[in-house]
Parts: sequence; structure tokens; C-alpha cells
Amino acid sequence: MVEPIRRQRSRAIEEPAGARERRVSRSDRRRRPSGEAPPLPRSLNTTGRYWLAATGLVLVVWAAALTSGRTNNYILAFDQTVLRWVVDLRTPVLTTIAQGLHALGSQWTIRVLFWSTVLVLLVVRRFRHLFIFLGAALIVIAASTFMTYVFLRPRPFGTEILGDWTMFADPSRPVAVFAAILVGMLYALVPQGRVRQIGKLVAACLVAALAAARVYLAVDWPSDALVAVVFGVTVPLVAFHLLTPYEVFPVAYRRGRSAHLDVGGRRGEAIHRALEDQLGITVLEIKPFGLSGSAGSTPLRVCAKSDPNTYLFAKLYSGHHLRADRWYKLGRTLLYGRLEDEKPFNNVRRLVQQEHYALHLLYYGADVRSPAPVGLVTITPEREYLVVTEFIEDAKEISEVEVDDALIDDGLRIVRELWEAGLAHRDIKPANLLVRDGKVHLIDVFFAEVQPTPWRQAVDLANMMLVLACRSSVERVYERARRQFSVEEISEAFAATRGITMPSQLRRLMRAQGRDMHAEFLRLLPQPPGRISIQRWSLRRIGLLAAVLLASLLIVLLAVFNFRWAGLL
Amino acid sequence: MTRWPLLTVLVPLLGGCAGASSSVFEEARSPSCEYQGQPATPMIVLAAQAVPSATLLPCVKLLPAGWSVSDVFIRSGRARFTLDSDRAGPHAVTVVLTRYCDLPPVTKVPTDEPGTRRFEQIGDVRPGVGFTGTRFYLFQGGCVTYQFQFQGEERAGPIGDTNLAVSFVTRDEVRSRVREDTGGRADLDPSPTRGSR
Repeated sequence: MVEPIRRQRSRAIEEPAGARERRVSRSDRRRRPSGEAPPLPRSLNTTGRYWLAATGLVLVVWAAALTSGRTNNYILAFDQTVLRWVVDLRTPVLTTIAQGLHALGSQWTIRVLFWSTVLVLLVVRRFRHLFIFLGAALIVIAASTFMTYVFLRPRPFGTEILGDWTMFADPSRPVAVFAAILVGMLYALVPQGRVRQIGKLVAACLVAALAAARVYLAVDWPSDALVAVVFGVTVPLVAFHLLTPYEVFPVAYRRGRSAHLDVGGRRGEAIHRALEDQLGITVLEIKPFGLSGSAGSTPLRVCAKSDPNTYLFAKLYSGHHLRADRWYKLGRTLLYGRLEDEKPFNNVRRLVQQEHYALHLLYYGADVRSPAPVGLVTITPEREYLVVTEFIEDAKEISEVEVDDALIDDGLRIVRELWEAGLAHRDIKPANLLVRDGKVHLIDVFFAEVQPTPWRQAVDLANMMLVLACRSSVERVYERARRQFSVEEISEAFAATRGITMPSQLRRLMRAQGRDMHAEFLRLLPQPPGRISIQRWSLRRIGLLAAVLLASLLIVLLAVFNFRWAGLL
Repeated sequence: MTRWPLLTVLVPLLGGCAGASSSVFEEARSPSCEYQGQPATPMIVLAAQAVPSATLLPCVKLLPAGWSVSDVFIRSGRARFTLDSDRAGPHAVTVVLTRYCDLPPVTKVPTDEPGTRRFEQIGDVRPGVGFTGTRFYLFQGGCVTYQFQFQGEERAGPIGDTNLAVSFVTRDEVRSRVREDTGGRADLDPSPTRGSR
């Protein structure tokens, strides 16, 4: 049995003993030996490997065909043999059927399938799947077109061509694009399971029918159709498997924030195993918890086996959250300049290290009443981690309790302690202030910053006063604040705080109450403070704005050019 | 950060590959009458497949200075390429091969291409603005249209250049090329015994 991490406080904080003395039973931790797979390895499944191998084979054959006339002759001999056999099957009825099936690869069919998929993905706001669908389609279009210009292979010789075609034959672009769009639709729109399996069968039949019809009509050589199928299936298949693995980005038609990962299935098992191996905790249950208050991670409540059983709080971070954080910071930089440190994290490991460090700093270093850190858990190295902390049981969000003088003092004391420790929380809002037994607990320290600017510290004070005033009164909070902060400090806080510097949950709460508490606080001050501008203009910001505009324009032009080329527009 | 070094290597590499291969690409993609000492390029073979009845196929024989091929597009039933000129402007001449032509009111003129009948239609001549006109070559199994759209006042020079630049190869020449390229394994056209059903 390993004892849980215990807090070594420099001074006692008055809190109920029962809350702090709870223990989580821990067994021995197990170090993962070198070479052993992580709890949730990221890999292609068997089908994906086969398609990738087939694509590799195609590339080898292509390379051989480009460099060796003999290979070309073998391919031609194969194609002619198959084509002669197929053409010998021609009958008026079969020709009519083949010409009907040939329409599957027409521009209009492709357009309808493509744009309806884009529309559905926009409506259900599955943007990641949308971008991968667009990207895979673009790659297949561009690469298949490029390859036709590399090989310059004419249409089948010696046979009457009975269908429409455009430009060179190898690979068959309509077959490749049709296959890519069908596979993309399956992985972007159809939930994994039986329906997708049926969908795969249907898609396989449709693609095979189109390829066969084009060979029958002598529009494509057999090898061109075959290569197009391999290429058209592999690109979206591999892209979706690697960039939107089912465990991370399941296709589901239920409400919920896209930031939240599915914690069932393989990932659920991996989390169980990882917690047991890396923290020595026997997990009884893992459930999503407080999803509505979190957008930057997937919060979980973990029931750990103990006597009695104990709850832990865990936040699951993935590359998805890292990218969301990058976009958030880029957006803030574009809109406001550098409000604070908007430097994005390099990888998920750095991101969780920041949170883990902040937890230790607040709990052990600053004496702020915050959740005790329990540990960091690797789910997939460099991709997914779990930050585990104490779960503050039986606590309520501050917006749900009556705020009296003692609670106001306690909340304001937290800000004072942060100031004295040289820290800023940077996200003080009702969802991050929990009340238990008349004490305020500060949670979600992800944004916490060491040695922040005075401006940032001032914003923390104003936000805390606004939160407290939501459930009491402005006058009361101001009066209590005067006991811990000077008029100058309060004035600075409200001069620095407005608009974007207030968390959106706090702004919504104030709007719901129909009050402009910021203005009410300003009226209480002896003299109105001057405004501190939150707009920061710099060469970097101007350059970034120009780069973003240029990149957006280039992407749109590239997409339009390719889509027009492929007849999708 | 680790991606930048990779990009800095990849981008010049890709750029270099594109640059090195562009001349080869252009040559092979051009609808030239000759390619590597043989009649017809793959583009002309494809044009022959686009209009299987055509006994003659338009091609670029010799590009005078200041002229370039800008746009080649071939689909079943139609083959097209465009010539740009630094004096007559972009898309100065568009050459289109089809099975049939709808002839507007035209004037028959003596042909300069054996095996064809030539017709001319003067569209519009506006001093200081430009010249538009159409030339038709009719032959067994096909029709080739030259659409002239010259910018500027000069007319005789660009037309003379076009006469030099665009010529024809016979289907038999293309057929021979295909047989040669495939080692005698394939014929351009179906044999009389293997038609459609």
C-alpha cells in the first residue's frame, strides 16, 4: 500500500477534518517496460494496413512502370487480356446497364454526394470530420489528376469506347473520387458498428459496379480502375483512422460539446488500466462529470476502491484540446493583441505539465484552497494524458449558494493569497468557485500564471468581486473588499476589467440578472478610474493578421481551383 | 517547432522536383506533331481516341517566338488546345477538333492542308480593339475549327504565325506510333471484326 500524496501546509487552513483526511487506497504502481504498448496505442486496424500495403504495391508498380518499358508491356498485356474478355461479354442489355452504372461516376453524382456530406457535417458541427473529408477529397483529386499527367496513358486501344471520358486514363479519376467520397461519407457520417459495416458493403458494391462498368465500356483499362479503387479508398481510410480515431472522435448524433472525448470502449478500458498501473488506484467507475462547465478538456469523476470508496476528479487532455487551445490563443491574439501570455503549448505533454505544476503551486505553494493533486497518467504518449486531483465532494457552485459576509471574505482572501504568492488564476468564474462547509475552493487552475502582470492580477480581483456580487450585493462586496484591498487596488481592478476579460459564464450570469454590476462598482468608487486599454497593437499582431488573411485566401483559392478541376463546382 | 526543419527541406525538394520535371511535362503534354523524333505526342493519341472517325488530327508543328500552348483539354467527342501570343494576347487562337461542325455563313478559300476543305468567317475587325474570326477545315470524319481572337491592331502577323504553328498529322501516322510504342501489341482503333455490341 502506498500512501496518497499528503499536503504539507505551511499554515493551517480551517477546514473540516473529514474532508481532508480521506484516503485513496493504492496498490503498487507498475512501470511500463520499454517496448510495451501504452494503454491506448494509436494504430491502424488490420483493414487499414491491407489498404496501405495495397497502396504501397501500387506505388512500386507505378515507379517500375515509369522506369521500365518491360513493366509497361506486362501491364498492357494484362489489361488487354482482361479487356478482351470483358468486351466479349458485351450485349445490348449489359451495355445499357453499364451505361446506367457509369452515371455513378458522373460529375453530378459526385457533386450531390460531396456537397450533401459537407452540408450535413456543417449542420452537425463536426468540423474535424469535415476538414478531413475535404482534405482527403482534395488529395485524391489532386494526386489522381497529377498522376494522369505523369503517365499520360491513353484510353483502351483496339476497342470501341462506349462511354464518356475526360483526359488521360491512369488512374481512373472518377472511380478514385467516387470511392474517396463514399469512404469519407462512411467515416464522417455513419456511426461505427453494424450500420457502418453494412455501409461498407454497399459502398464496395457501388465502387465495384462503377469500376466494372467503366472497364466494360472500355472507358478505363482494368488496371487503371483497380489502382483508382486502391488509392480512393486508402487516402480517406487512413486519414480518418489516424486523425479521427473512433475512440477519440466518435461519430454520434447526440448533443454535447465536441471538446469532450468518449470515455467508453477502448479508451475507457485504457483509462482503467492506466490508473491502476501508473497511480496504483483500483477504479470502480469512470463517468463524465460537469461537461457543461468545461470546454478545454473532458472532465471525469473516478470512483476509486477504498474504505469507504472515494471519488477523484480527472481531466482528460488530448491533441484535440491542444489544438483548441492554440486556436483560442490565436483568436485572442488577433482580436486583442497579446493580452497576456498567448504562447501556445508545443504538445499535449507540455499542456498537462502546466496544469499539474499549477495544481502543485496553488495547493502546496500558495496555500490557496484548491484540489490536491494526485498524479499524471499517460493514456497515449504525447497524445493523451489524464490529470488526476482530489474530488471536492458535496460542494456546490458559488452561483447556487447564498453568499454571506464570511463567504465574501473567504473569496477575496483567495485573491489576496494569489497576489501574495505572485500568481494569477486567470479564469475566475462561478463554475470554478466551489463552496463546501462555508469555504470557497478554487478549481480549474489550467490558466494559472506565475509572475503575471499587475493588470492580470487586477482582473482576477474584479472578477471575484463580480462573482460574489451576483449572489449578494455590490455594496456589500465593495464594503467587505475595502477590508482587504485599498481603494486604489479596487479602482485598478475595475479599470482593467471589461468585455473579454470577464469569463463568458460570468457575463451570461450578469446578463441574466439584468444588471450592469461593473458600472455599479464604478459608481461606488470615490472617483471613476481611467480605462486600461485591452487592445495591444504590435508588428507581430499586424503580421499575424496579414498571414491569416493570406493563408485563408490561399486555402479558399486552392480548394475552389481543385473542386472546379474535379467538376465539384 | 520540429516540423519546420522538415518543411524547410521538403518545400525546396518539392519545388526542385516540380521545376526539373516541368520541361519534360510540358513537352509530353503539348499537342506537338512530333515527339522524340516520332509523329504525335500522347496528347495527339488521346485526341485521336476522342474523335475516332477523324482521319486528320490538328497538332502544333512549330511555335514561332512569342507563342505558347496554354490550355489542352480532351474529352470524348472533342479535343481542344489554345495558343497564347505575347502580341496577339492570351487565347489568341483556339483549335478545336470535333466530328462535325455547324458551319455559319462562310467563305470557301483554297486550302493549305492536303485532304481538307477550308472555310473562313470574318467575325469582327475593330481598329484599335482587335480581330475575331473563325477558320474551318473539313475532312473525312472530322472538322477542325480555329477561333482567332487577337488583341491589338495587328492581324496578318498572328495569322501567318498560326499557319506556321498549327498543322495536321494523319490518323495512319498516329496508328503507327501506337503500334510502335506498344511493341505491336495494340492497335489504336478497333479491328473491323471487333466492334461494339
